[in-house]
Amino acid sequence: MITPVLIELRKIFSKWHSYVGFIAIAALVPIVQVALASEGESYFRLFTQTLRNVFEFSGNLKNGYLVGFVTLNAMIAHIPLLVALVTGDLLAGEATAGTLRILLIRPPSRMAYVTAKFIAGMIYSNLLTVWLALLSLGTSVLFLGTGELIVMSSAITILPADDITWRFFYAYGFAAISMMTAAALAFMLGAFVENAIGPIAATMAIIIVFTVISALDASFIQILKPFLFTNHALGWRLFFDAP
Amino acid sequence: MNDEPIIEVRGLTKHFGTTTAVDNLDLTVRRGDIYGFLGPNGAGKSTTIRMMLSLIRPTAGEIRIFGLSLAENRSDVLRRVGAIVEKPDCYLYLTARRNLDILGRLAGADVSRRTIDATLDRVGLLERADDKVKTYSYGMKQRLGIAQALLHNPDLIILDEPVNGLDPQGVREIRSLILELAQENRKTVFLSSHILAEVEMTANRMAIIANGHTVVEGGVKELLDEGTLQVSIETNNSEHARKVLANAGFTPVDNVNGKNSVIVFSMRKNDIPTAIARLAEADISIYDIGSTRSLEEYFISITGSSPQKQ
Repeated sequence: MITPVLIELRKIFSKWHSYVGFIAIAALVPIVQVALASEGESYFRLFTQTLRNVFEFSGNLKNGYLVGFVTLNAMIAHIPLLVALVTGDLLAGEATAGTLRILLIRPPSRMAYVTAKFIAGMIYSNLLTVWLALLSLGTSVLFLGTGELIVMSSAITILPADDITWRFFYAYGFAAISMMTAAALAFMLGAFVENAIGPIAATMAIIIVFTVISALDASFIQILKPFLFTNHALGWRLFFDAP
Repeated sequence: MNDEPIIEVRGLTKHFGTTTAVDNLDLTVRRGDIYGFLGPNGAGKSTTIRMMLSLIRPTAGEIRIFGLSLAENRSDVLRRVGAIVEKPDCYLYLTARRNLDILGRLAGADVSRRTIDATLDRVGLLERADDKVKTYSYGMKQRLGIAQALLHNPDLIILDEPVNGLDPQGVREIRSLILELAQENRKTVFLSSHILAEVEMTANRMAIIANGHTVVEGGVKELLDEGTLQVSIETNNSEHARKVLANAGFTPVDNVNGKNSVIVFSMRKNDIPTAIARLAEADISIYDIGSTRSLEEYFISITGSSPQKQ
């Protein structure tokens, strides 16, 4: 099984479109970082203006943790689309090119090929998450340093600097699972068609539809929500809720 | 060459919905054969090959390769088979060398640089080994397809239209390669083709299929001897000679060589002495006589449709 997986990874990284996700993250993260570094103070004042009458904010609050948190929050919904670009192509792309046939006349079974492709797709998906973590959190901490993290959701939570690293570890782990879900969906759809565009577009459409449904509050939708993977995709934020 | 069967197909049938693509097909390919597999378009050649390579499952019947049931020993059988099916599809975004490396690993081949280079050299692609396949012509892709079929040194090579897209020089090279594989390397070659001349020049045995079943199977030479010949006869009086032979029941054929003194008739080999006797009885002098075997006519006579020629 190792040989087919390594071969699949070699094939993935021999295609230019496999680097689109890495390039997109590399391009977007610095933009978010620069935006937060230059304008973050005013946004921060806006969100905390009512509290400033009661509390005094001091120290390095606009730090690498905050930028890492905001970046993850901003990009987590879109990265599955970048993952689908590759995993949707794993089976359908070979069917389109006719190369599936040349694989299937070799000794490994169909199940071995499908499993190898699935594993390679998951590895790719996780590499993209690691890349996101390295750029969004790693470089932010490197350039902006560490400090307390103020998380603003339904309530404001202030997390001490020495209690944050594990939260990011689990948050990126959770994000990796979200991305693998989208990757698996695109991979599965790619098994039914012979054109890679179809599964990629269908995955995007499903994510968008599920996200919209997840945002609605109608009672009959509440029944559906536990079954919509997009409803769980933002679960990574739970790691930052409790002090 | 011996009589050990390498491929045995018995009662092979494939239905696609209500369409029967292959209907109770029987074939026997022996070790060392270059086996021509001929048939008009839609006869079921590619469907048969796809079943022989386990790409699709037969509706009924059995395929045994190397004495093993393909259905029960797929991996063991395919490890010893190299093939091109329908089109020479390779990874366009990879180089030829990388394609062979990937496909060779999956087939359990020695993928050392020396082996890959030797295989590429054998099909005339060594100089372009490091170019991406997307820059290749169709003929070059066809050569690469043959290279991937040979890389793991298989005992049985199944080639579906291997000279498609090749220029005349390329056709000659692939033809010699096929002959070399069978004669020097003792490989068995199963050659599907719609090009009659190709089969005639390379194969020692052949089957012709039509409507999904075997119409005839046997040695190429023996089968051709059963067919009609086109006999060209140069005489001192072509008009009279044409009448004499037509009255004797022979079928005239259009004379395409343009020589007025030559007449062409279609007849079986055994009938040539009779034709000569009739001309002699009519005091017609024969200056020259020659015959050509016509696989095409033979093909049409048993399948009812015309194959393509190259």
